[in-house]
Amino acid sequence: MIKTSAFPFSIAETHRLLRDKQISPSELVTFYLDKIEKVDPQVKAWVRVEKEGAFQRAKELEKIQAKTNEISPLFGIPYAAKDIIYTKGIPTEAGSKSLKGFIPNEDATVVKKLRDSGAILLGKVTTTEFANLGTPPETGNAWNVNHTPGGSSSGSAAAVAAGMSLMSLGTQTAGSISRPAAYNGLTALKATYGRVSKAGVIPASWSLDHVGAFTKSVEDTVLVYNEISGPDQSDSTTWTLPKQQLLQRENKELTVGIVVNDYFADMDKEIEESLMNSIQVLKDIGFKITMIKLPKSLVAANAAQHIVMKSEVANYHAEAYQKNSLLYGEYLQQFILEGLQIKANDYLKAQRIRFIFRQELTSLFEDVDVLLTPATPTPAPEGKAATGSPVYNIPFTNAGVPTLTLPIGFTKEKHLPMAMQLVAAPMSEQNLIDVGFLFQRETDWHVKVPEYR
Amino acid sequence: MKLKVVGLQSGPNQAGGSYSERIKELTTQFNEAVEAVPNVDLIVFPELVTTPYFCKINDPSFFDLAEPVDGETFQYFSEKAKAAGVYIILPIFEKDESEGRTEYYNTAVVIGNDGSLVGSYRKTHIPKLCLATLTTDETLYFKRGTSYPVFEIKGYKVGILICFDRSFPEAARALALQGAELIVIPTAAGGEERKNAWLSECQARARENGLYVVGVNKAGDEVITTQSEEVQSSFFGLSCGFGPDGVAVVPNLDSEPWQMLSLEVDRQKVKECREKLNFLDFLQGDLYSAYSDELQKIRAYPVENETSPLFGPKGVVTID
Repeated sequence: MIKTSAFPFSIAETHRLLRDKQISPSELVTFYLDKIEKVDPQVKAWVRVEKEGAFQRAKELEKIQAKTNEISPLFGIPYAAKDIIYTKGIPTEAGSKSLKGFIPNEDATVVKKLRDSGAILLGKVTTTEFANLGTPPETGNAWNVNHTPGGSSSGSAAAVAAGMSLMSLGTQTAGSISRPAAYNGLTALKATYGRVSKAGVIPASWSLDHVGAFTKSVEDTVLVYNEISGPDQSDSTTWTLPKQQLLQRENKELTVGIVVNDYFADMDKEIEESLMNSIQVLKDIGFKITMIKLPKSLVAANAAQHIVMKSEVANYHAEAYQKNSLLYGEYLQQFILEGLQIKANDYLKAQRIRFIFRQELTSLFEDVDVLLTPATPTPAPEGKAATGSPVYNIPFTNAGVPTLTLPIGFTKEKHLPMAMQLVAAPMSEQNLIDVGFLFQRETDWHVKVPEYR
Repeated sequence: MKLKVVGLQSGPNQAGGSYSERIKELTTQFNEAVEAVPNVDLIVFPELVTTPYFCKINDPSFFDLAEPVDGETFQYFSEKAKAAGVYIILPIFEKDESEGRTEYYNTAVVIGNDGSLVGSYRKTHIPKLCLATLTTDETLYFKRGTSYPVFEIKGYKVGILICFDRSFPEAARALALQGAELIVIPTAAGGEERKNAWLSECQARARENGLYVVGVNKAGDEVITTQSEEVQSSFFGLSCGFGPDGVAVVPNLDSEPWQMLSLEVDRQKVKECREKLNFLDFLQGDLYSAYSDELQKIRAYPVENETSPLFGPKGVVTID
């Protein structure tokens, strides 16, 4: 039997134990289900736990484990999926009334890929209504359940941070991966738009949506990304980007541009201090540090993100909304009503502004390899009626460029996590990993875990 | 050439009356109109002319009253139209099974003066109301239509709105922007609140678009008795006709059933009126949507036209 005190909290370490047959997939599943039973009444991250399915899968994997010494990277790794991601035969309700009881008859591509890699689906985790900004779930922050975990991937972040899963899948249309990762002390890569298939993921706004994973470290992020990314027949936005294997390696030959726009000036004092300390760490490692400003089109581009999201959300829900608008929460009702009135001319102008912003943003990477900003203006706000602000994430979701969120400390009084956001040029995820990997070798914020009574 | 239009302010359905009795009553009214107005071009019936107004009751058996656009009632009035050489606008309860599934609409059928099926309009605004003097839920029965067709009748462009649609300037505007010179509004309306607004709504739609509006309502009291309840409707009549200047071209009818309204639509008058003041010339179509800071920002942001060959909305796909 496993001693829970010595139980590993990273995918990488768990993988080594599984490979060496020191633990079995069933023991892992048992451990995490026990943890869910103990912790989730406080955190409320799960919509449903698939106990039987997880054990059955673990048993299948054990047969394979007995026969071989070579196991796939995510073999036996338990994970959670945001409840807007299709899971065959398992209800997928998107935090909504309108999809109550809906059961997909197919898995999303990311779920298929994780299955192929040996991962075990523990269940579905909470999301705000249709992964939008309104109607948050009851979920609490893993570090203080009276604070928001962020959103829309509320359950995805809280479940991993509270130790109820080794990883989870989430999505981002404005700041729904980066922000919950920051609020919960997790490491998360939002890759270039089109790197990870969205087939079988209920869209929020298709030209802005990204799928990604919540993990405990850069090492784990690389392991998961390498499995879930790559072209997918069922998602045309993935067709133009080749399959890419990210590496963990020592590469200090990179320039980090600290973003100094007024846009980021309203950040919390403690976050600013921690950010300064982290910049010093990067400098000490040997990265070149410089200052840089975002393009002037930033403000118009943010407005464009809003218009595009509203239009696409409204378009996706138009028919159901016309039939019965009361099946939507108040926030989405208003959002859809306004979206339905946006003219094609404004929508297309917004898309052109996004394109210009992306071009201008990309040109910054002629001088630097990675941009650095705070991940959020504040630590997780108190209360669960709102999910905090995505403003620091929106520009980069909008441009579809890759970002990596990394923990950089805890607030003094309430011990809430804080984080920075690294940004790279389109398709340059490796630069983010290079900086993040060496940063986490020098810091230990990412290995800290909350304790539950 | 002017267009001679007659609106028939039909009475209510008789309690327990049959379909054939109803058709008989309507035929009498139709025949009288043809006789009273020589060379009439277009005769307009009120909303749901063959059926009682059942939308205040939730009872699936009322779906049995629905019929296809080219169903029995159309066939009957097609003969009448041909014989009299007159166009007819015939509002029915439509059942559509054409797409492999059954849908129901509140529809006005346009019959040509040769008896042909010219087309139809499906009511787009489906009310669910709970007013002091009117409670109804049409959403129990009707799916909304999704377009505003304009029909050519003797060279005139004619649009149709049905009952509740009249309260939406956007709907009338959609017809005006397609060149409509006349909008007919078959109606089956009751209730004090709606009655008080009816004439001014029809008048405003006429003036703001510079076109004729002919509102044709049912009149009189109707009672539907079901096993559990007795439901009454009092249609207020007041059928009316307004010119493109917003002035009544004929005195509106009172609330007595079985009357008719006769008027002429004159293209010359539309033209003269629009030469003086045509609101359509001043439309700011790109601005009529919910206001937001975000819209202001993107509209104010200058974007130069480029020619980069991207497929679809720009910025969506990375091409490398």
